[in-house]
Amino acid sequence: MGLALIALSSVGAAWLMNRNVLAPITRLERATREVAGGNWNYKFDVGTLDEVGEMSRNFDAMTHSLRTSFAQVERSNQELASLNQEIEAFSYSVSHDLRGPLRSMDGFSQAVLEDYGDKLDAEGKDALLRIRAASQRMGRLIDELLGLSRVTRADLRLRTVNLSEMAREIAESLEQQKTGRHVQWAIDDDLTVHADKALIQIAMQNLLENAWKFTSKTAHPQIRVGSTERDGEKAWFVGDNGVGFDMAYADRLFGAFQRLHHETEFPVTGIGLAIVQRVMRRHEGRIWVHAEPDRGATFYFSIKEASHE
Amino acid sequence: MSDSNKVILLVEDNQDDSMLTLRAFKRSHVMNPIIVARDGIEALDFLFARGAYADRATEPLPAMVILDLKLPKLDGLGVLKAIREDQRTQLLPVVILTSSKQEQDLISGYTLGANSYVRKPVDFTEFLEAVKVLGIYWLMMNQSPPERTAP
Repeated sequence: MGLALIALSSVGAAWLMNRNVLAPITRLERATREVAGGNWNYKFDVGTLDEVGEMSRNFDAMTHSLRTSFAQVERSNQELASLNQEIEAFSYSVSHDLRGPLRSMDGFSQAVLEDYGDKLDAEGKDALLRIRAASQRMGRLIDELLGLSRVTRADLRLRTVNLSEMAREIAESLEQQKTGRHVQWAIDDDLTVHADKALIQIAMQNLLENAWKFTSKTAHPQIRVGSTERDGEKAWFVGDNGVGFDMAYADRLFGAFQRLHHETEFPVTGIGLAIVQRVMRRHEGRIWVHAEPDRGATFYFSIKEASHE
Repeated sequence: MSDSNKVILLVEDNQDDSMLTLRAFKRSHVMNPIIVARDGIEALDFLFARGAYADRATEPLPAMVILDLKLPKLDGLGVLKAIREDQRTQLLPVVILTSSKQEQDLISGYTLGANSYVRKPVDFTEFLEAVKVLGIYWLMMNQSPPERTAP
């Protein structure tokens, strides 16, 4: 009788154990498998009021809040994609339509100068020349803004880039564009960087062009390209001994359309450094500057350590 | 018929741009007569002697086509595609002359078989230079493909 009771109660305990503990665990196992497999709509609530029931409801609440977050991320992604498409369409239209009127202004001003130049006095000619200069300047601005948006959208193709060779080629082309200047170039050998070649080319072109322009009034202009290491971080630099600037203005330097000198003094559009900064950001790197008025400026840049060779 | 009598077909909807292009050709001493088509359909009508140009059926093809990309009715890429698909015009020199240097335009232009792609500069002095070089290259230096008779 006693034995039978013990046997009966242990069967009962086993049955209870199975119903209240093991079955929910099997269901939990199944639920995690479903969710791991991507079924975020799986309902797990076992309906009991005990701890297992509590846990199952928490589990459902968790998948519910994840579902909401995913939907939000998905919505943001879609918004981002359509925004990108809009930017694409916008720059396409800018590229095609905004330059046309400028061509007319420049071209017909030139036509008047050529065909009616003898009927115009100096002031009249000067006015037409100013229209031409302004149209051309706006043409350059549009090109540079398009360049800026291209840098943002371009796909990165990382490879080892020979920075020394690139800098020498740019230096050579600058020398060819404007002869009669005697710039002393000091470009270190064997500078390499693991980066997108096209984007780095754009950055180096801008930095070297700036150095070239801002040394145009310097007695013995020097431009240096090299690399340095500080606190374990490798950085490359382009430095000059040109007009420089007060470091108090340094933080304004990298915004689009910012310039620290009058355009008549030094012909730059004010977009170049914004482009350089964006190139570095695309490489998860940064750019900074050290400068002194009348003693020159040195621009340093670093790119993400993990993408180094 | 010598090449300097052959026409140049300029496909351009913007009147300012066509005036400036004509002016640039004149200043570069290009003597060929220039026909301006104002949209893509008109350009194809001219080339294939259709519609208003039906009486051109026996005329030779132009020496070259200068093609803008943004055009009403049928855009420049559509014109280029139709030119390359027809045996009569398959080998016709086509130079894209347009405002944009967007990568997508360059790629589609060359993919569809453009012979050259030139961007219209804002600076007229540069524009003149570009047109001059185009004229010298395509009308003087380059040997045209032999004319094909209609199938």
